[in-house]
Amino acid sequence: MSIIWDNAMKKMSSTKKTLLIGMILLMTMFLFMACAGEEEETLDLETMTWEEILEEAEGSEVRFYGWGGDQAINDWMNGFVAEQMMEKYDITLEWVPMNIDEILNKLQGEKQAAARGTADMIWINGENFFTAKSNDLLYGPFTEMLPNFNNYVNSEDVEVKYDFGYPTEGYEAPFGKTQFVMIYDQEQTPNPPTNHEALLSYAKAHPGEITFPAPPDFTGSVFVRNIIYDIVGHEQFLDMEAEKEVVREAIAPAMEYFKELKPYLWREGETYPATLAQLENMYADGEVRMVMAYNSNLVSQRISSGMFPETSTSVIFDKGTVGNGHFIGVPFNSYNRVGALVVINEILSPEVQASKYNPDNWGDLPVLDNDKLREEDREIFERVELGEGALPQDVLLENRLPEVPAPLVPIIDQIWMENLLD
Amino acid sequence: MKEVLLQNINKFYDGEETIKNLTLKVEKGEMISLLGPSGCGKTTTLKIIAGLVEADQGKIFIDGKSMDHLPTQKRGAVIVFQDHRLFPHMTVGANIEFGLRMKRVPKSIRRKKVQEMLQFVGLEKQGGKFPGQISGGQKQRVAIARGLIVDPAVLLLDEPFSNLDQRLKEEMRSFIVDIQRKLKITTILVTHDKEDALITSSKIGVMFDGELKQYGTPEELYEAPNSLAVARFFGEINEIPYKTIDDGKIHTAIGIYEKDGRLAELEETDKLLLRPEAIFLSKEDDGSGNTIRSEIGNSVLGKVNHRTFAGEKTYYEVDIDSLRIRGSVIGKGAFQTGESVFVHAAKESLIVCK
Amino acid sequence: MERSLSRILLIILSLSLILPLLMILMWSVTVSWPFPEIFPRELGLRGLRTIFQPGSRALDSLITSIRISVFVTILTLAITIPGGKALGLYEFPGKGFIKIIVLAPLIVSPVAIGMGIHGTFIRLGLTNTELGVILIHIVPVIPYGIRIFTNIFELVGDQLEEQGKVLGAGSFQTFMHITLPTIMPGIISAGSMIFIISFSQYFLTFLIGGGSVQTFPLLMVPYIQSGDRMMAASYSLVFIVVALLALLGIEKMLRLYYSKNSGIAGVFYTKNSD
Repeated sequence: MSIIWDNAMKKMSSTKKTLLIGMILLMTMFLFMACAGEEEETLDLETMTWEEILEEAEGSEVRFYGWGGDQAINDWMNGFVAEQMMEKYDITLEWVPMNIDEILNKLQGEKQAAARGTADMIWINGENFFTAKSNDLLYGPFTEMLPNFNNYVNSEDVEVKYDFGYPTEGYEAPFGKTQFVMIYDQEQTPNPPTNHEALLSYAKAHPGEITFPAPPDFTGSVFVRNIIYDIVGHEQFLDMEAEKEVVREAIAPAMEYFKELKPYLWREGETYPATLAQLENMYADGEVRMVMAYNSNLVSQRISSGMFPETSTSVIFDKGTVGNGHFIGVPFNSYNRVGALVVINEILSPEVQASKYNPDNWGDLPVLDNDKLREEDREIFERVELGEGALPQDVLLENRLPEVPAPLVPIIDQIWMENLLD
Repeated sequence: MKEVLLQNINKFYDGEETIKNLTLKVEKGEMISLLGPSGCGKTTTLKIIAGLVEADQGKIFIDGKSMDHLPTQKRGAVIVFQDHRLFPHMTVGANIEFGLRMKRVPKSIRRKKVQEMLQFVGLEKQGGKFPGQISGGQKQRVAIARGLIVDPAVLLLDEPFSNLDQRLKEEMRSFIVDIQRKLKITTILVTHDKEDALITSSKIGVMFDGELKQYGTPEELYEAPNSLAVARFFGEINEIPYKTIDDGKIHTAIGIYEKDGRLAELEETDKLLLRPEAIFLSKEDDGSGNTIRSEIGNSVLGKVNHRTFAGEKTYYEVDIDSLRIRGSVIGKGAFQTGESVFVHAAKESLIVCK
Repeated sequence: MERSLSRILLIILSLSLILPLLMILMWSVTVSWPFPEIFPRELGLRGLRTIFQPGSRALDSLITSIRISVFVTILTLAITIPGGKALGLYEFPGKGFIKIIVLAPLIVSPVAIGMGIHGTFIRLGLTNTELGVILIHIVPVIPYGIRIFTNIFELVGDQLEEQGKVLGAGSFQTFMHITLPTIMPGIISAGSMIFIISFSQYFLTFLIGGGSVQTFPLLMVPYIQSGDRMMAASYSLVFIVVALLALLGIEKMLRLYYSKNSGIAGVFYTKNSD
């Protein structure tokens, strides 16, 4: 390289030099053109029987992309689930931990270039699902092709039909459920507040020791909606127009509440923890008295990993707390759709759902309909021992409030920020 | 031991001509100098010979072979640069060895030759040192040794004495003359110092503004410069105004001369020059009553305006009517400021120049 | 006075470098460290065990990361040394413009560049391949390489190369025996910088590698974002140690090469002549 350059620069006139540079650039481009990728055909899945799909998927590799920030989940995916797939179907499951926003960027880019994808399954929900579906980034509908979906899942259940108010329409299969909980140390707080008024008095009694991550942080945003539900009820939001003025009026009393609460918050509400992670660390360090989670089993994991005090416990409001589901979708350009379908089907099996429910593995709530389960399957779930500090499944499900439709989420966050951050 | 021939070399930089139609021939085994003020194109000429700079026009022959499109490394024209350019990451020995390594000379031969070369330039003890650890004079020797070891077709020395103090400079000068005589290597030396050129070279080319003004032996250049500029370059000089009158004689400010001999070809546009040491001064009266003037004959009367004693020489400024000339005498001189003196110059010492 | 001041500054500087490292080391083995306590209450090895267990993905990805960064470093040097030389030594039309253009990746956000190149790479079949990741990593480091080598060549000039050539060295020999050793300090500093920037790339790696190419930061960043302090600290610790080792390795290797090409002859002549 350098020799050529050297000689060329010495021997050539200036115009020739410019030409030479141009030619090198052109040649580089052609070189890349030459190795452009080839197109592949995909199978017509709708006409295949499940047996044919199983056969087709055997020996293939399935790539599952999802949030990778939790070691327990990563280990469970790489361990139990991957082993199941290998043993039962000779499928190599490749779990690719990442952040969900990035996968949408990637799919969007691939869509524009009409490229074959690398992701066969993506862990998705809410707005990301809405964005992906409305941009045609998802394959579907596919859920009714899955035997386990048809056998064990109640397809009429609101939490299966809707994801943050968006109709799922078979473009994503339920994966698990979570519910918002607040976590207190029982030793420090023997009678944790179970409604917004009690929370206010508690904050007044311990000024500076309560806080939450400010919206638009995901968990902070859920906390704000929970307070809103507790004050003005949740029903009106389910079919509310996504108009800022309408929403503003509906949640006005809740905004008044936050203004009253503000001076008793950590640093008098002048600033909030940037992330949930920071709040967790503050709680672990004893700096604040409450931490929250959009995962009803987080507390037992944190206790067993030693981060939270053993006397930590989950608390929900008397009127209930927001719960939502998370799902699995198949990208429009998945290379191995049959494999993806087989893996998703297996994830909807009682064995995998029960393993997921086990707090030693993950502690995520199952999505299978109890009424549809066979007796022996039900026993599998009953054998799962609940972790320390966590609330049992039935308590949670009885006090479970639906999420607001996704378009309202950013509007509520916006109004909260306008009122409380200045 | 190769001859070098430059034919009608032209070089332009940014549209300006830096070398103008240069033609130069250096005989086998000869050492010549290119003399001129800095920026006159001497170093560029060396680079053109070595192939580091390409001439826009003209041809170069080394030993009769055309150097057209021959890359630097195949020409065998080695430049020893003014700033030595020793490779700082190599020892003195490795620096000298470099050219042989590039030619893939076997190691055993290389070692032997480097040892010989170190001895030849008197640096037996410095072989393992790095360039940063030796003196300026030693660096110069290393640079020369490094050039000599590849047995160059022509050795090109770029201002080799300019960074040295007087004592070292004289030492290096005789060192180079010595080497050149021993090895009979065709050598071109570039310098701005006339003394370097006069002492070392059998021929000198004087360059101004990219132009070779005159090329000849030191004597020719000194005694018969073909221009005022060349004459000036070799030392102080007086310009003597003159008139040619119908009588066929030349009436100069310092006397009347017959128009023959040196002056036979004198044309009206030519200049008449005289070096200070060619001016004879004598007293009007030597004290014994005899006028020296009668002995010398042709002379004019002037008055000493200023005397400068410079050790081995003494300089006088003498006013002859409105003309002021400079003369010099060996020793401290016998005249004082304000004294009247006779000024005389032999016809043979007059320089005619176009 | 001046001495003690510079000593104090040196101490402050070393502390500011060592303390964060110590903190990371502490957190990587800390299970619980309640707020006012000076020492951690409970220590554990969950983080480091996860990384170092046999068959761990962290180790695989670490090897991938090192391989990619080594190639990026070599390729970038191969591009930026001649490029910097051209910009530092030669005059040609449009030089000023090119000087600005090559710095553009510093000004334009790598996200924007990455998104733009993503489409092109898809068409060329370079996405999801290690080659694609290597190529995209080269983009943000080109300006550093060009900048460093332009300055170096402006500083050292081409005098020594000229000398080498008149002594009979061909272009390649000149480059190997003179140019490279002369710019060695630049190669070491540019090489280290390129290696580190490539080694810590997250977004571009994910975008172009698409998760098929799993580098160490791809596993590390989700933990940092999720706030699992022990995992994040463990990964960071391994990241920093490996990066430091790689840098020392690069320097050592280059220095070794450097001395091989100059020192041996020198040693010989010392022995023989003294």
